[in-house]
Amino acid sequence: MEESKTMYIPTIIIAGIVIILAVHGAVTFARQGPENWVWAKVFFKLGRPFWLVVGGILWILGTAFFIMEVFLGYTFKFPFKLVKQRIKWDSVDVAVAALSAAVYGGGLTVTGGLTIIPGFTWIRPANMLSPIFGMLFGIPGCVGTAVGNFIADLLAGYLGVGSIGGFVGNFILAYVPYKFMKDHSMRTARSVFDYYFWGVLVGSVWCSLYISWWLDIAKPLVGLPIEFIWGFFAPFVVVNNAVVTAIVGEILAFILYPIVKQWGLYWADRIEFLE
Amino acid sequence: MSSLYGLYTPGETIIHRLDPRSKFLWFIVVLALSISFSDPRFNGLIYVSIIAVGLLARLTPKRFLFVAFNSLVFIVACLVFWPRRAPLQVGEVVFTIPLLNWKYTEIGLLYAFGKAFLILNPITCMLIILSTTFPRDAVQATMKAGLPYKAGYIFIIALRFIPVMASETREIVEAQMSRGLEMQRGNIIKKIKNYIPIFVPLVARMVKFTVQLAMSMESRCFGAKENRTFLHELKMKSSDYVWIACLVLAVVLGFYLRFILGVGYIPVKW
Repeated sequence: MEESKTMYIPTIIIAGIVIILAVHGAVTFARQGPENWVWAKVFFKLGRPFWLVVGGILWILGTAFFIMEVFLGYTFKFPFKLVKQRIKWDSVDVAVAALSAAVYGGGLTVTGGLTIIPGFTWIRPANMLSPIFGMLFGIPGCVGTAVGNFIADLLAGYLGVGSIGGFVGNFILAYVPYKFMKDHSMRTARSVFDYYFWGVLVGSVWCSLYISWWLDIAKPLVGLPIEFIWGFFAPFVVVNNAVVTAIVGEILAFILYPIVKQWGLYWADRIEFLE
Repeated sequence: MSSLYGLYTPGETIIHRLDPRSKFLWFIVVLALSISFSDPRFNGLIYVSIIAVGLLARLTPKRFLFVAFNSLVFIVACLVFWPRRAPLQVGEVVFTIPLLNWKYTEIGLLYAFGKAFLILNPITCMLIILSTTFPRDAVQATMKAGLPYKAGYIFIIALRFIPVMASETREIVEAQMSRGLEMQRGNIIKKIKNYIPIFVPLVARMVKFTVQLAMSMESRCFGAKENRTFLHELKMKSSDYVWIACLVLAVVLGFYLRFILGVGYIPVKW
């Protein structure tokens, strides 16, 4: 109990830092324009080779996790012990994945965005659902998030080669809190701390670097300039995901956890590990 | 109908009747040709050919404008950033942005427009494919390419349920607004927080739908057999073979122009 209480202090500090950084990033973007906002400067200062190496490592790891979990049926347990898991992909898992995709994809399209600069940039509120789906529904929820993003691209009319990166990138956004958090209930300080660290910080950055690295490498196919990819797109995705997940994700998870658990859809109640 | 199945617009045109595999092959050809050419005049021709196919499919120009509008950020980024790369700063300066002193040369602008078409061409092509292909057929085509049928099923159900969820979302928004929720009030943090009373009941409804859907799938023996059969099997018709022959011709002609005659390329030393 004492340990739980002491964890609140770093949790509040991390939450505060994340919210301040994200809001500061959004404000400087609105005031100083896309080339001079504070987050782009950070990306430019470290240089493209740095981001290519970091993004490359994260891309390989992310793709490996995606293939391992979805296609090969393997997962890992701390401290990195590879185990076989059995996700049945029965009617419940398929329904969870499909409806997560419908809510996420539909939410991304229907709720539109909160405009920062009219006609140019916005924050997508439905992004707050991706870590929640991962934490509560496990791999079917992660797959649903990935499919949902794909559908949102499709409905918005910009489905292209870049959407492949978006597909796995959004899977990662849901997968990181699902896999790396030990407690998803949001009823202990440790759980909240883990959420802000893995779900907000690591998940947002990993997702952003994954998609940006893909866009950079697939440049001959996609056609986007690298200044746009690393100077605007990458920091924007970090800010977008971090803002919405930091501000409301924790509250949503707290409220929805007992509902999902009660209906028997919580991932830990459905998955089977074959040790 | 179209709102139930995403972008799909029912029709009886020659493009609608093509096998989805033939249409996906068209996408690959468009992508390959758009990559091969960097001159916007050639990539523009490809775009015109895509629009022609769209008109054959009786799609409205509004739909193409919708794609162009949604891709505007990416296209503007191309036009702004590509010409500023050092190798593209050679030749005659067409104009300069006064305060920033950004110079735009003829080669730089040509190259940037070529890249903008590289974004626009595949996206518009995919829009036409999705607008003319019934989702069930598209899924069957991907299954024939080796994708597990459950993956296709997830995609189909998700598309089917999007209008349901959208209607649920609207109902929840109206209910909460009648209780005093003001969605657009306050600063950005307050506006984001306003979504909590929307998403909580929405996900709770989703959980209920999930259980109901799973039960109805169970009652129809979903997953009882490894391989799924279809009532209407996809079959390549003579029109598909004519279409593929046209695509082969386009590729041969395009590659001949680009790699044998050496046209359609903007010489840049990176």
